[in-house]
Amino acid sequence: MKKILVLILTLTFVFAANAQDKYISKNGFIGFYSKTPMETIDAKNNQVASVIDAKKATIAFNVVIKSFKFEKALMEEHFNENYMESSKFPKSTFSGKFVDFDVKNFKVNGTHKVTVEGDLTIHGVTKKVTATGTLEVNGDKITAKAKFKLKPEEYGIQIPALVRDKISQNMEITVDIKYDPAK
Amino acid sequence: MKNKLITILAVLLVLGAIGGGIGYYMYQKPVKNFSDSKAEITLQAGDIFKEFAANETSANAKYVAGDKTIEISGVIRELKNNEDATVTITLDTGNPDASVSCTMTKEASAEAAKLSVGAKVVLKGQCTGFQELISKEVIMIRCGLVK
Repeated sequence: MKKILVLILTLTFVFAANAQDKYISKNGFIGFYSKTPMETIDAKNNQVASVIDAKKATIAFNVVIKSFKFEKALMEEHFNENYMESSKFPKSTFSGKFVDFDVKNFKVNGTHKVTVEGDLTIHGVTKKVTATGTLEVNGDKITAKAKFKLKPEEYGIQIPALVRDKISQNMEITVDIKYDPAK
Repeated sequence: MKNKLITILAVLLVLGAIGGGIGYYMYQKPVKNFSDSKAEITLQAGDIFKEFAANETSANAKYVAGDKTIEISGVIRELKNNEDATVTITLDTGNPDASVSCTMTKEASAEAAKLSVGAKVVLKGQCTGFQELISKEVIMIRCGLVK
């Protein structure tokens, strides 16, 4: 009788330990950077919400556009009102999966190279994108990092000819998000 | 005749310089100091949450648009120390699946870190919108404490 009880308890702990499926972050960082001889644009968003499903190897982001912080008031205003039209499109989202990723690795400490593929929606326009990055696993904490480039025009973002030269052709996007296990 | 011309040119130059100065000032002007400006709207955490949950678009128009300073009072559910030396205070709304997240400015973070979970707090800052991916949360940034 005792042996069966011990067996049941052990199995329960084994299943509980493997129950960690989702990792979340509500303070993730996404920044974008553009440098031309005329202007340096540096915007930071520290309110990115993201979920990693370690069982399905999927990842999703929710980015509130108004949370991008600039130094200069005029830049922040132009970004929201003229380019992103954030009153019409308050959020940017991404939903995708880790390509060819062994889910075992979510539990293996170390830095894993990853490729992510999915639907990125900016300014109401959705495009399929692929990006590479890393997942740093440290116990039950995961840090996702990535850098990639985007062309504003591909998402219907209109930058008037007059200022086009002030912004580089491609915006460099940086992702740095620290996840904790979902409670 | 010549003097008149010189005077007109001088006036134009001065106007041009003033215009340029104003333009430069506008261009370099930093973002509004939300944490230290007069609150335009004051309400409870539970109430602002209800409005966003009911109609996000109209809540955005009311709280997010127009760079208004929003003052919120509530009970602290969580205090988080962020990597960039800022503190994020999460306020209760009466619903466990719902909260208001207030990330403080660096200046306000030192004092905010001394607060404790369960304490009542009043703070003000910029409301940037609503997040629904992970439970539901109204987002505030550039926040400062209100004495």
